[in-house]
Amino acid sequence: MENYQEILESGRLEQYALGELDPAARAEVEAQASRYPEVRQELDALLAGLDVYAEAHALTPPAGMRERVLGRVLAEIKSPAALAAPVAEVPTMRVSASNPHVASPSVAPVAAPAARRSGWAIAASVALLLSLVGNALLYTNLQQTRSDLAVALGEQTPFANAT
Amino acid sequence: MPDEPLISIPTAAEAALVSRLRARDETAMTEFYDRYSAALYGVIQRIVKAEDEAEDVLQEALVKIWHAIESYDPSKGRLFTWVVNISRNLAIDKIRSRQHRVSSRTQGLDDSLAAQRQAAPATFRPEHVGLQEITKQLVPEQRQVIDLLYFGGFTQSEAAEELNLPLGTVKTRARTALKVLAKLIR
Repeated sequence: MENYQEILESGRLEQYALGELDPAARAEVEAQASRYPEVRQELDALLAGLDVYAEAHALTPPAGMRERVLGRVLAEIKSPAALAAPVAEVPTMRVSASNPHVASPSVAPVAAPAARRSGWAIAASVALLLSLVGNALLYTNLQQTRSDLAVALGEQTPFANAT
Repeated sequence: MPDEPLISIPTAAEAALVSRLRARDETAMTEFYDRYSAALYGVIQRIVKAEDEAEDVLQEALVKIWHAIESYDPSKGRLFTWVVNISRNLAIDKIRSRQHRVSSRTQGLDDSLAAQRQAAPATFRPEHVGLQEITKQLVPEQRQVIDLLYFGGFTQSEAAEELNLPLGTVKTRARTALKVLAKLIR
């Protein structure tokens, strides 16, 4: 399908814009976009359209969220030890939104900063050791993220190919 | 602020911000937050629904953006597209990992249909291309499809199944809707 009209009508550009394609198919679309200006233009227009849709749903985060989120983000990105600390994962372990009555969702965020503070104290005294452990944890997390990504992509592939 | 252009449109300020993030300038994250948090939070909240989960995902997205900024390639697309997709993917991962996909499907449908009949809440910034303007341009059937695909994390095949429509119909609606949206800023 090396005719740009066919590419435009294939529906692949829409799938690309919506994030339905696996990395190989994405790369193929990107290659086509760099070969044909018409494809590039159409793809950019589709992506811009979705950007507008996203921005139309803009919602100012509730009061207090800026300080909490920025505080945690800066703490995570400032120090490899803080980044590697397992407590950083705690907030993701909260109760499901579909079962809000099962447990108090406020437990995890309260516990996390305290745990992180003691983490800092430990980090100060055994910084070298922590950095070694931290690197190992980081590496493990990275591998896990990669395998999660591979699984997620694997799950999407049948749908992308079926269309 | 009222005359601020769409933040999805790239600017010199955006390029400077990317340079600072690449230079590992942590203060750039604060500026990034102030510029993009409303857009990212809007998308995230729309997908995960619960406010505490949306906060977690926003935080995860910012950390991921910080670590992945080197891989952002301006020649492949705008920064806005890239950061929204990171946030959107994390939010979709979140609802999938919770296995509350089934309940959120129904919820998402009710929500999107109801949303189409309501005026935009005050938190939407009226100076930007607003939901009302988009509602005027898209017919409800098109919005329903786009909402499932964009905020529900459905593939076009899954959306067809969900809506009991032929795949071709879903593809046509999605395509037409995307073209209409693209024209809004042309």
